[in-house]
Amino acid sequence: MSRLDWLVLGATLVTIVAYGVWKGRRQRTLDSYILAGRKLHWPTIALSIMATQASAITFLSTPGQAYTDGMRFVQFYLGLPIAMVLLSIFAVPIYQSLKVYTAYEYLETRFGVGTRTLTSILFLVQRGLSTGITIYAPAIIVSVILGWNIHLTNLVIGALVIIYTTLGGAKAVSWTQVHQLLIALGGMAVALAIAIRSLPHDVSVLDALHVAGKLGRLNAIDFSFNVTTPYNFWSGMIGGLLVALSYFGTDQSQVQRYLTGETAAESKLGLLFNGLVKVPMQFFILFVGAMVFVFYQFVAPPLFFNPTTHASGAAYARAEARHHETFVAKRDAARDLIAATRAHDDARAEAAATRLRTAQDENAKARAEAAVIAKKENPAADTNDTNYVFLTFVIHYLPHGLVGLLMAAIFCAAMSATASGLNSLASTSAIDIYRRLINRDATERDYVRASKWLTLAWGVFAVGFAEFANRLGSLIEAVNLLGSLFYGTILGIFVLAIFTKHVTGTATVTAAVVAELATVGCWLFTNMAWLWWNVVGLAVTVCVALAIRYATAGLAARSAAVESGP
Amino acid sequence: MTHFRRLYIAVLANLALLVLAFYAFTRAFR
Repeated sequence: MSRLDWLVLGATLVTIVAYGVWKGRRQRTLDSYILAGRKLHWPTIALSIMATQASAITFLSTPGQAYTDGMRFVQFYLGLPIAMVLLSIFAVPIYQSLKVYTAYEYLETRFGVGTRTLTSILFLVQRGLSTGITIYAPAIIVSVILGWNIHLTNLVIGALVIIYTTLGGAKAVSWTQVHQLLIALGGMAVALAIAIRSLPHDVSVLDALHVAGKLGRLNAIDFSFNVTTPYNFWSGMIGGLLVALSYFGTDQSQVQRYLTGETAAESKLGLLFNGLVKVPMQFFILFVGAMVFVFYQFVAPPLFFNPTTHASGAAYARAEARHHETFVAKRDAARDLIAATRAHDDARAEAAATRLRTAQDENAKARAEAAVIAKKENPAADTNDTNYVFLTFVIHYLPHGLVGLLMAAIFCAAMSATASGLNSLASTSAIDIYRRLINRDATERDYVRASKWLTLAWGVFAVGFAEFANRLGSLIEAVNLLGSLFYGTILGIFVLAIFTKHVTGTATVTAAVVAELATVGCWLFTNMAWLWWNVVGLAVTVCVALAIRYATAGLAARSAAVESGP
Repeated sequence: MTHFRRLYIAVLANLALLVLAFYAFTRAFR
């Protein structure tokens, strides 16, 4: 990175933190510290919701996903707009009319304190760990590619977020997120423009689309039904819908964002705006990856984008040479395909496409061989390029100054997701645990002070976990899975709370335990794609709770009949 | 029809149009 890049990065981060501290000054009541005084309007809520979901990994890995697997990941978001409509109809009016601080507070009004505490503890465990990963995941990618110190990167991201989140609470978080999201999206737009401009002069965007399409990278929609493939239309519309319902409807990191709305209408508008623009936004980020993919059809890509993945020996050198040979064959076939398409020569275009796909397969084979060798030499070698493609492109092909802008975009995204995490962890532990179970009679000022200390404590925990994550290796994936394992069940608990009248807290907790066992069973013993676990968790929770309700209602009716019998 | 009901329909119609557009995009360049 040049001096100009450092200047852009440093200035952006300092400005964001200073702005957050200034926006969040003078917070003396719980309402203002946890819910920004319930005074925000829908544009701020909408961008804050989107920035919470869009972590640095969204901007680093999603383009890489398009590079390695195509654009089909966009289907994961297809259920989201439907979820926004359902939550606006059913959840927002409840939360807003009860004037709750957290989603779990509502559960007590319906099932009692046990269910509230259980659900908030599940949230604290899952969000506590994943906030650490939100810091660690971009830090490791950035430090591997730029050679930065991972510990320092973790610490800098964590410290910057802790400063304004602790001092300014929800108001600072929501307002900084507006700017962070705009910077991140601006950075992506710049990257797209540079990727397109960096294509060879005789290759147009339309030509690029033909090449990407023939190599299966523009596979945005797949209507075939298959529970073992992760992303198709059905898994997105059903599994994706349930994930979105659970995430936006029951996860405090999101619920807190729209509880800041001045009225229920402002909260609903914020959610609905997210429902309108989220799918196109993800399509856009994936499209950046597809264009980077086409760029690397004409400029030789490295064998592995992760610079630490390599091996010595003749076999590895042979695989590397083969990788380059097949790249040249691929490039020639791509040029032939473009020429044939322009000449409307269908037969020649088809032949070129076949050659292109064959060369692509050979290229992938050479890479897979190299991966085996690299793994043999170093079992910890990471041969998955998804996380490293986009940043490598940015570092090598963006001009000075813009590299700094993209780094600022990635840091902003990391900070925005982390800030919501810390803010929600503090509000849940302050309201659902401290105020409800430990100290019920403190003053408002004491609770605000406790919330600030808890924000700081969760921040320190998240940075500490990010440091520890270095040693977790493949367990990181398990931490990421943790959320998916709980989402269906937690959604089931809320569905029972909202839509049933007579199911008791005990029946709900029992059903939740059974559903968790079923979900973990799906993970361990089947090859069901993870989006479907949510369907299992939700269905088992609701069905078992209803079964217990009707069985106990039947027993009660029978014993009543016996007591009043002849 | 209430203001919000119109918005709900708009969000769902937008989704339907996006799916159709993405499908056409997938078909056009495969």
